[in-house]
Amino acid sequence: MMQYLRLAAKNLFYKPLNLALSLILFALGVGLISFLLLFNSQLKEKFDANLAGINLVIGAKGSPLQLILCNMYHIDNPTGNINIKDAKPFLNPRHPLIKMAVPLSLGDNYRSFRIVGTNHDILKLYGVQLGEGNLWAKDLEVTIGATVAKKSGLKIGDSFVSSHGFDEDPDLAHDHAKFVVTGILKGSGTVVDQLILTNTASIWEMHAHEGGKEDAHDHEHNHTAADSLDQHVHDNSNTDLLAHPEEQITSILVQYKSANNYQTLNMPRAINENTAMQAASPAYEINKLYDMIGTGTETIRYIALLIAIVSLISIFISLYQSMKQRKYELALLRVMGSSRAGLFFLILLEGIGIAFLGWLTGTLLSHVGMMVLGHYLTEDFGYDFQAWVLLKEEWYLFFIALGLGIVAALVPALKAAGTDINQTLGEK
Amino acid sequence: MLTNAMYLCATISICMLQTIDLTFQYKGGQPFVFPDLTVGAKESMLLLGRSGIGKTTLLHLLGGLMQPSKGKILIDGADISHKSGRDLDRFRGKHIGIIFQQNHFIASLNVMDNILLAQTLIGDKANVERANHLLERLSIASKANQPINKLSQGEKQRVAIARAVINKPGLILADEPTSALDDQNCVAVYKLLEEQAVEEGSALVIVTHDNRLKSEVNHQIILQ
Repeated sequence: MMQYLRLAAKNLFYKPLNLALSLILFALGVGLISFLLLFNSQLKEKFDANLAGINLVIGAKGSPLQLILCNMYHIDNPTGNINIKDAKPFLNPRHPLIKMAVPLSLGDNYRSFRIVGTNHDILKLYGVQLGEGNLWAKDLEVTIGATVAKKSGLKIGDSFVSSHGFDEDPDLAHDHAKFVVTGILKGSGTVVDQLILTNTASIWEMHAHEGGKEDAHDHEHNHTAADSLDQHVHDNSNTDLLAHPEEQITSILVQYKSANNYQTLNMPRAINENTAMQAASPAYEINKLYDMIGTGTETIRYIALLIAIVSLISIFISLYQSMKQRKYELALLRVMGSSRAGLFFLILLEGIGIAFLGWLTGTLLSHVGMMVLGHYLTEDFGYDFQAWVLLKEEWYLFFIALGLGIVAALVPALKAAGTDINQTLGEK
Repeated sequence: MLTNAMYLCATISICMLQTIDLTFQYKGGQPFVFPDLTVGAKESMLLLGRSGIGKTTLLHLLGGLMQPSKGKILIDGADISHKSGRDLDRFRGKHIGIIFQQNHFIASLNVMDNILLAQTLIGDKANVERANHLLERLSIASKANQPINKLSQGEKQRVAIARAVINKPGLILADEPTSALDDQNCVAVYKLLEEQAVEEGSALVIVTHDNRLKSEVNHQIILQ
């Protein structure tokens, strides 16, 4: 056995260019499929982890997918803001159908990490726990996600100036007030890891100093931020929001008491038809998104399949030709004591060898590709993708690859086993 | 002929090759009937005859590369005419060393590995020491680690000889080993082959139509 393995390896590497051609094709097929597996599984993982039992997102009218992407995945801009007076019923803690309503106010960032004005329920919703320090309590206090802490280097007690919008831009800095870090959350693998959480009033605070909005303020917010830190405490509850009906928020994440209730099923339509707001179902919108991505990945999958078939043919031709060129060698092996089965095994091993090396190269390629893409995704969207995990599907791919190697080598191997020693040696 | 064979066998202490009543018939062709052969250990024999008389056929029969239609072939006491399949493959690898007119090698292996392959293919452990010893005896020790195709034809023939004798075969078969050589090298190669047969205690059978060898080897069989 070992002698054939050694011989097969020597034979493969004896003609490196032939090997390279077969390898590149095979690796390309395997690599594409492996990359799709890797990307799809992680994308789904990210989306699923952030569904977080959210049944409905209520926000300004616009694209429902944009509403979901912005408020649940934090990768798109808001559709606009909604007035608290319109959203009142949904923020009411005594709403008969709603178990939890988490208000979100967006609009600021610190080094591209979004600052989200919300209440403490968001941690329950996503299952995130406090790592160190305290949760935000007063205006301008923030608790930061694990990724934010790691990448920005912010520590408890540090203060920073936010900038307007969602991209880092020093020209848009709100330099009139500083946020103070009071706590850092434990890593959860959800989007909360990359958020800076504060109370809703802090966001109002930031934007109160801009444009005509200031006129709308007729109470404690209408003074400098430094004063508000000392004088006014918002208790982070929805009741507190209800006390400011003239203010705005970006959206509300809603969890139902029972998702299958007849009345809850009707709620989104009621909101969309009867109010100035829109309600979108995350599960529905994300499935629509999967379908869209699915068409693209399916096309790539067919291309990968095509490449795999071409590579199968290339391995077959390469083995068949090299076997014909080596017919004297094969006859010689028989003379030296090899059985027919031995020759069959030898050519089969060469096919399997190409398949194995192709799988290895392809898998390596796909993971390097994932690393590069992951880098850009992290830059652009803040999501971390793992490049160096081995999925169990990739192991299936391993066995499929070896299977293909065997299929490609089967005919050449049978032909090799059938070598007529007398005729071959007689030709001279 | 039968009496001749019996006479020879009685005088030779170890009978390495003996054929009895050997006949081979290609499908639809005339049968080849071969004379009985007997060669002892450390003995040489020439198989002469014009082209088409069945020299190659006899070589393949003796080499266990095909089975006779009739008769027996005894090599080191074992009858190979009834062996087949894996059994014959293994026996051939272990007990018969063949040197072809045009020697083929595994191109991807170096000189040493080509020789060692003859050992590992029959399931033996590679004996580098013995291979080195043989290469030295054949004066090509310095080429051990060279790619086989870097060697000259003469050097390749020596490697082929080393490969043929590495397993200490009972029978060494050589097919036209001298036909491409000048007079001087012709004798030298024969001497080399004879030397190996004596060293390993093998019977040496040379199939040839090279008349220059007639003066070197007494034991001659002419196929008719």
